[in-house]
Amino acid sequence: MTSPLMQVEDLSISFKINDKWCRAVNGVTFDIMPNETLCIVGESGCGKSITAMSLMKLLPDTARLGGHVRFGGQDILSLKERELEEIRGSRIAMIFQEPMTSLNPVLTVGEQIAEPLVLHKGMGWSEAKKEARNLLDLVRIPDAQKRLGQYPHELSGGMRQRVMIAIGLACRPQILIADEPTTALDVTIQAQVLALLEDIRKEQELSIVMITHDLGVVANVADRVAVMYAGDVVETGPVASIFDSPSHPYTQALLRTVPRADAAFELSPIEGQVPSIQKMPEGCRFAPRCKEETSKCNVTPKLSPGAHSVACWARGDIQ
Amino acid sequence: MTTVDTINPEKRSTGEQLLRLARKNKLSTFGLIMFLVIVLAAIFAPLIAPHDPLEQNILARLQDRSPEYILGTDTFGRDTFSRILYGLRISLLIGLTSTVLAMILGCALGIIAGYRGGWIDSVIMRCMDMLLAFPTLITGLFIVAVLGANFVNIVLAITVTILPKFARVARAPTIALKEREFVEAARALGFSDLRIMALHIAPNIVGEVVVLASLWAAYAIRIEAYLSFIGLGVAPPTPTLGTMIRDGFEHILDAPFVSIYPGFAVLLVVLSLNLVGDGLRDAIDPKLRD
Repeated sequence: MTSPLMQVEDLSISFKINDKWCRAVNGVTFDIMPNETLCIVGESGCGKSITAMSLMKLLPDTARLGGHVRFGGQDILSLKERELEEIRGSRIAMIFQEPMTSLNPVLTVGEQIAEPLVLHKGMGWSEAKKEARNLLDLVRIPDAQKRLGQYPHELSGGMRQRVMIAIGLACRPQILIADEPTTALDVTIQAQVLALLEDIRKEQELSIVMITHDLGVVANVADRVAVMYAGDVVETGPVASIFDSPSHPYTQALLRTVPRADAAFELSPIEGQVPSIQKMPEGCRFAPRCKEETSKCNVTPKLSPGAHSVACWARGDIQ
Repeated sequence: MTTVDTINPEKRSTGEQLLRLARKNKLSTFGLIMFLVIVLAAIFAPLIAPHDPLEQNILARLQDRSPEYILGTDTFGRDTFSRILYGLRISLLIGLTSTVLAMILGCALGIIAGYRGGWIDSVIMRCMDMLLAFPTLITGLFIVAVLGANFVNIVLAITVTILPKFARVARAPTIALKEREFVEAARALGFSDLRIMALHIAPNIVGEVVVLASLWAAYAIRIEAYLSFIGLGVAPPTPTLGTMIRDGFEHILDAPFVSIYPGFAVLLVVLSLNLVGDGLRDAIDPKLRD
């Protein structure tokens, strides 16, 4: 078995709201293996994005971080800003949700792809521009030479997201974090971008951490899945196993909200709302919305050991 | 995006764009040409000037226009036209140097204040407010009076008086820009704060700032004229426009032209810069762009 590229251990993130520390992410643990796609899924507001940001320690200073993010023999969370700048963009890169606003409107596409190369790889601008051209070919943008000199507003949404991917890949990172990369795109473009990411992952042998709330995306691209709810990872495992035998009541409920072509069942919404960060329930945070709530649920359950693990008192082998 | 852009993503060349702008805004084009002519006249003053600006001809003092002295002579019989050309050199040099200095420093301060926020923002902006609280001329006067009247101090005085305006203009958009996703994306690429401020935020506000710079350059030239007029300018006999206006004041009733011609020169410089500024403002206003 290969050793993981990145190990996230007991990661917790708190924010101060009205003079009270509120835990937005509550002791999350997962590994990122080399050359795999890990999908983090969950509803809006359950801590997916800030978990992803904290993998590069990109959160504002007002956030209090706990736990460890081990990467390449270092703990990211204990690094200084200067050391982080060396890792960001070069060994771990990130692409964002909104391709419309994630590119600088006054710099050309070429300049924006070339800049990380100049900064991290010490290339000259002309050399970096040549490399930028290759990167545009890599993300399948036709007529790359012309595109290099264009500004973001001259490109379509899908094209811009490809440019974002090219920028992210510029320095050949080991991990690419994609925060809902296809949410802002229409369905056909979405499929193209996902296929592109998958191809590039195979070609470049990098790991992708994909944040999404779209289970269709998960089924398409994921190797492994981590289901998050209100700051906890409630279930994690290989994608096939999660879809075929979802174990946690939340995962099961989540899957029942998505229509499937291969199975007929009544769609049912999950009652209630994700609890507010200021009023988290004690113990299992899903308990108030759970149909299988037991007397034990006022104590936080731990993830069970094994490849497919689940944190729920109603499921057998849990302490 | 207009349909033209999607069908034909070929960019119009910069020259073509400028030409289109020029055709749309004739007054500003006129201002630009006027300003360029003035600048060229100042640069080539030694070639154009018919007389040495310091050469006195007491026999021909306080003369009105004549073929020999195109714009007449002053109280020492020096050629007004030649003195205006040389005076323009000093006035433009002081005005433009201080505007550029104020623009660079002011924008740097404004961007740092806006980007960092918190106490850094408060300290920088309160200092700027303090400078703004005094009438600009008083600040300038104070600095020149304390440090002494010479070229460097006058540039410094004018720089300090217009610097807070640039800081304010740069700070406001910075606050908006730093929340934009591309700044977050730049941080995710490992760019340092300094790099983000200089290479990612500054290019976004340069348009607005340059427009105002052209207007404040006119203002800076006026301040230089004020300071010279009240005797705090570059030491005589070096001609500057303000000094010339003042020198003519003694004879304002019997020979008004001695003051009027240099005054007119100030007017032309300020007017041309204002016209250019208006044109630039229209050009970067997306609502007026097609």
